[in-house]
Amino acid sequence: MDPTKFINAEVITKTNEKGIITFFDGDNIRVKFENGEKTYKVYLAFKNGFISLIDKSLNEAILGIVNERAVNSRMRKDEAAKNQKIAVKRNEVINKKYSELKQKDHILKCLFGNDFEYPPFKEFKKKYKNYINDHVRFDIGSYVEGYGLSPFYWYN
Amino acid sequence: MQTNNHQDKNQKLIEQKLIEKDKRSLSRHKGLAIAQAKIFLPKYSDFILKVISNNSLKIKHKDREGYFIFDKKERFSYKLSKRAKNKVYADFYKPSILPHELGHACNCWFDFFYPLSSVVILKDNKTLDDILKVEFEQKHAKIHEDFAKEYKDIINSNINSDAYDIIQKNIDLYRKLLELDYRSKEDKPKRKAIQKILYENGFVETYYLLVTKRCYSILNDKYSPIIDALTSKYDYTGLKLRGHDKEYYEYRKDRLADEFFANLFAAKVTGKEYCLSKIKQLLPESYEAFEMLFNIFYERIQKNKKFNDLSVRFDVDKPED
Repeated sequence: MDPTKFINAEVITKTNEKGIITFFDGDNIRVKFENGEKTYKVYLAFKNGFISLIDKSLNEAILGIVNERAVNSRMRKDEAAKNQKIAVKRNEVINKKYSELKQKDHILKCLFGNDFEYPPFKEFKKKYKNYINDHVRFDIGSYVEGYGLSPFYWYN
Repeated sequence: MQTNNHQDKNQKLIEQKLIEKDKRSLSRHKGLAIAQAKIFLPKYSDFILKVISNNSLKIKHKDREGYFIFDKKERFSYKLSKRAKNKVYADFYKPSILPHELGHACNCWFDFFYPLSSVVILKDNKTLDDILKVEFEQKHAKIHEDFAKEYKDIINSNINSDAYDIIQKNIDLYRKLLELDYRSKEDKPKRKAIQKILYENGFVETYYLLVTKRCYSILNDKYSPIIDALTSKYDYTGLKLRGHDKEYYEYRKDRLADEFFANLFAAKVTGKEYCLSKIKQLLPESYEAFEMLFNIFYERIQKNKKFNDLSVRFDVDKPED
């Protein structure tokens, strides 16, 4: 769509004020009225019929642009919502895996010493450091107690 | 013959006595005393009540531990009023610990250095200690071999078919790791190297499964007296089997009989017939000697009889009373 064909086209507002388009770039439109120039956003001005072109074919052309933009905007919103759901789900999965690995690392520290770092846990933390929410807590006490995690304790 | 009411009453009395012995730990956690009292077989509840009611025996809770401490001050005496003031510490959150420690207390009823298992002559001028040492020396290798096979079957069936081999090949390295101090800067590189090897060999993952699946607990439950005796000869460190270690048994020669008595005592008073039948099968003479010694002690406590009619063997002069 060539924006220049809208230049000098006549427009009329809802308040029956007539004017001439002096600038159009697809997103913005500037109209010269008797009492001065005003600039509008094409999408907002034409969406509710505040401004319409007197030439019907040009008016239909501009409404086509406006509708396409509305559809694109909805599509972008839907896409954003879908991406957000995916991101939330991904965060949940990552943090769930993180808490499992953290728990396993903690148990292994009891068995192999506090200086032991479980390699898969170390790599996982490095790979997903931007997604990990480390407010995850679990009760290690019951695991230590239940598993008898020292070689010399009384095992049940 | 004890009726059910009488046995229930004894159970309640055991609960009360335990709370009285350790008010600090049990007065607010009566459930622990109830669970502890319930573990004893009803037919031995009266006997246990008499044992724990004795004023010269203190019983206290200790987290995650169980041990018996003897009183160094008192001398050997048949008179209970003059005998040693011994202490039993047990984790009441694990009711199976107290029966074992009471076994030690009963064995050392008169003196820690003259336990019944080492001084009371049972038959052919032999004590439980004599009989057990001879029989165990003859049979421990075969018992260890059969036990290792059973351990292997259980581990492999619960984890995977290579689990036992992985554990066997790396357990010595793991034991070496346990000896190194993680806080020491000098030991740090050695520890890191060992940890890396253990991980690469698959020991870390296998051991994690061993600990979390707890497949060894079946063996601990079934074989605890045997395993404890085997630990006097073999190193089971890290295998999660219930027992002491070689150094413990080397410290005093009569410890084998002392632990044997305590383990069988615990199995008997808590009704673990499967444990006792296993011992009877593997060490029949020692089992028979234990039964004799237990009955001697049980009868005298129940009938409030004196102990000074026993045939005993002492290294020093027999006490006057």
